Amino acid sequence: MAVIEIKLCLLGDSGVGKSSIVHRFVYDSFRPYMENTIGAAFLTKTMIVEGRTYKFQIWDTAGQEKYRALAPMYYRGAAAAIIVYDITRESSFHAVKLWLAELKRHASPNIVLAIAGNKNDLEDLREVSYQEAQDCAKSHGAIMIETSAKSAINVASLFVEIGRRLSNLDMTMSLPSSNSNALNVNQRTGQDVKGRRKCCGF
Amino acid sequence: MGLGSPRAGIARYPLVAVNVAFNPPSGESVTCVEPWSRTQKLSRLNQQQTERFKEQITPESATKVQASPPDHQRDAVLHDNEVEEDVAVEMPPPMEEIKTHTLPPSQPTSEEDRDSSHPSEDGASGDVDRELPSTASDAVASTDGAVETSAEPPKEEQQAPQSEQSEEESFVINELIETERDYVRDLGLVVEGYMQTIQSGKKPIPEDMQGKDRIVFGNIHQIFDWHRETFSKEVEKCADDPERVGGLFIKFENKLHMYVRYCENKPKSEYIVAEYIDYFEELRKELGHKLQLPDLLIKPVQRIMKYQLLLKVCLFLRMVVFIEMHEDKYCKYVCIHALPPPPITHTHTHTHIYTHTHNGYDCLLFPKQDILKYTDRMGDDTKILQKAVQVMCVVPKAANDMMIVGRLQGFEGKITAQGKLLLQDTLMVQEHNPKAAKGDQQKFKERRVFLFEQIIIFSEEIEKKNNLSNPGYIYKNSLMVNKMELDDKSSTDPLIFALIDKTPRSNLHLICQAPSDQVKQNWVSQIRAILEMQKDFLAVRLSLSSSKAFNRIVLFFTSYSQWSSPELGSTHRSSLLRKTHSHPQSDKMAMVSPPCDPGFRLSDPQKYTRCKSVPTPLPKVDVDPSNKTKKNAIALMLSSALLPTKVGELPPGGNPKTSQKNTTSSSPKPKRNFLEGVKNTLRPRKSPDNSSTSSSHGIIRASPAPKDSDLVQIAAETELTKNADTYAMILSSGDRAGNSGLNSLLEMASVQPDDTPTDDTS
Repeated sequence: MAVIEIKLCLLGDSGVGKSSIVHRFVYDSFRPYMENTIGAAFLTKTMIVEGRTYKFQIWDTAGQEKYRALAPMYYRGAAAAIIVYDITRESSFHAVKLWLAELKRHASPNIVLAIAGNKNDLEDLREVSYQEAQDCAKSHGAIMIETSAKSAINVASLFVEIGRRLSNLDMTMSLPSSNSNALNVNQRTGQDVKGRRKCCGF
Repeated sequence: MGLGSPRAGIARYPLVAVNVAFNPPSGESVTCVEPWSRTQKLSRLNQQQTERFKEQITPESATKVQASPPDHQRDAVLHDNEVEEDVAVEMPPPMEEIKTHTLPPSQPTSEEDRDSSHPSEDGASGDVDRELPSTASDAVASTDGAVETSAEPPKEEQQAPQSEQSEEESFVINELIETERDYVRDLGLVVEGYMQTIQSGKKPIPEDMQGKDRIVFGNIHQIFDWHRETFSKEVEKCADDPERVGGLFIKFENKLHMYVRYCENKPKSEYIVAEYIDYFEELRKELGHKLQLPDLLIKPVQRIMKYQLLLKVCLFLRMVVFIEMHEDKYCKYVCIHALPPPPITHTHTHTHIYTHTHNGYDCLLFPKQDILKYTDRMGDDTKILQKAVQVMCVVPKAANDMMIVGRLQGFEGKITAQGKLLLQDTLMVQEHNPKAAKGDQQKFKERRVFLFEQIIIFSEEIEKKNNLSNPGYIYKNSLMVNKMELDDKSSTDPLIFALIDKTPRSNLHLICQAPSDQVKQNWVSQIRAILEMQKDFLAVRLSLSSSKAFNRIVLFFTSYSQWSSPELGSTHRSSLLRKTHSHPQSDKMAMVSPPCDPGFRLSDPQKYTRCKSVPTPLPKVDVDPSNKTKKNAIALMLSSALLPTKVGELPPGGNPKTSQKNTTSSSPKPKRNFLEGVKNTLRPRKSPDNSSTSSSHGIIRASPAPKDSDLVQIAAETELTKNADTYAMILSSGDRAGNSGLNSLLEMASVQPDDTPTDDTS
């Protein structure tokens, strides 16, 4: 069975719950008091959806929020990006739009974008409506999902959806005619499918 | 009061059972081992501290100490009931895993460690590594299942606290040490793996890649060597002596600036790596690495941004301890905004600490008198830590700014002399000529606009040629902030604001259209803020005697800077003094290695006196030696900055006194930046023929201006070395903290008590 390796990075304001989402996804737990400041540089998680094995390699971007000019180093090498905002903080949603604009300009055209409205367990404090986010995502062709790292709502489905989209893309992309403009992340993903299998015994 | 908010914070979360929605694959059971959360640790800490200092604690805080169950228990037991939360839960017993956790264990699989700690075995270890199950070596903390989950550091607490040092802090220090080991190992994979193989010619690089391999790796070799030979050893020592941590980063500040260069090179490196990824992949397989080269090459970028996070947590923990031991009223002025997301949860446990954001800047709004009291009472080690945080914010910031500024082409002025980059965005801009007929007006064009403290630059984005190229910008136009007027009212379009060039004979109106209201508001408020700053600055200049104006500005700046308290900011600055002022020549190093003073001392007794005792080096300024207050000193600073034309008359050598001090390597960059800033701000008034007649286009080019180093020399020439000292101090302090020079001027003014003895000048 092929392993589809997906490198992805999380973007978004600080405090929106990027690390929590990753932590929920990878360890399936929520730590209200995060113990590790640094944590791991790369977290990986393998999951099987519809017979396909996805291996997510998540780039830790903690601490970089303020240094936006450095972000391209992360997202340029990524096959997918999750832009996280906090549904209880309007300003964090504003940042999503900025990120979308930036990614549209400077990331690979094939990058799979996902917008995650985190903390949707705090419905009473909501400042960003679901519809607004949905519209924004639609206009950029991004996945949009509201999550709660705390309550484990939709976190897995967020990644499943990304995997699904990427593998679709991968199928269309793997044709030899794939345009030369495409960032080779996806090509690389294709290689990994074969390469990894051979050498790592998945 | 200490209790209300933590509970509120926790109760905000609906109590929902976790572990429902997601079934991890491959059947591993993931148990959610909730930590004895920070709350509890801190509570213990509090207890400990309280006992230690025999401070009276309020009944409330006593309750709090007992009322901190781990979160999962809280979820299980409580039903959103605050009273219960306080009373009902017993503390769970400390668990045993702790030790593996608190001590720095070799958490990653032993194979990995072997691989890294004996790099000489590289060739062989490749084979070993390849045979490993893939999960075992996927970097620091891969989790494909239960194995990794359990490998995650358990978050239990140690038994009774044994040392006086905060357990939380030693936890953080241990994280620093552990991750440092991993980091050095990863760098080793690059340097001793890829680089050595390539250099030895074992795997010849593709012909057309010849010579490019240096760009691929940048200065990672240097970084690796320094970490392996020096820094990680120093870091390891912190295990026994956590107090060292802060000083470490200050001591090695200029070494850490290697990272700026690394980041600068990184985009080029990425480009080449992507081009030859097949080669590097083959090499990776031969080396038996699990991580691809790009994964390894990003690590320095990740790493340099992590130190500040750790330091901030350390600092925060110390402050918390301190605050909890003291009166509550100080607490509300301590700001943790600068902390990374995770520790923000502390707001829940430590109510009285507020965060504040101002114009997108992390900033603190400290009432000055309080922060004075507060920081005075904190130990020296805390102050060092504060400084270290600052240093470690400066480094990534420098890298960040370099990345942005590096993309701007065609700007002939000194971009580094324009102050901090405050804002950048893509706006629609029209160069509007009010006299031209409507049909003759230019069209709106898309412009990338950069707002610096001294200048606003309009540039055109270069069409990207391919996906891996960095965005690039071509300079189109600019306006000096001090000759700029903002008009956001007259247009009917709510998204439009106009910037008007006030230079005589210039009719330039730049009409900017923001993509959204929020963007416009952001720009308008930022521009207004810097214009206000200009105005206040001029006001000060005109009436230095009015203490009222002074206070206002001081307040303003306090809200503007990152660690805005004068105390936080100025401790280190003074230490730069002697070095900076005496190095007018060593320009070239500036970008790479800004000044660093290894012998940094916290309390420089001469700090204030030096500053205030400045007789004028310049004929224009009238100084009464008997009245050498801080304000005079600043007035002198300013007025000396106003006379750049004197430079030509200076002999090149400079003052012998100052050149004697030219022994250490440091850069005059900060001086330069600030000075140019001041000149930019002030020149039109004093020397109008210099640049004020130029159009907005020509302003920059028309201001070649003398070098600041020369100005320092002017000061030195007067044989009043103290002048030079003061000068340099101010100059260096400005750029230092990433704030405007003006900021530091005013900070210094605000710091200086008026009653400080003034008898140091004769």
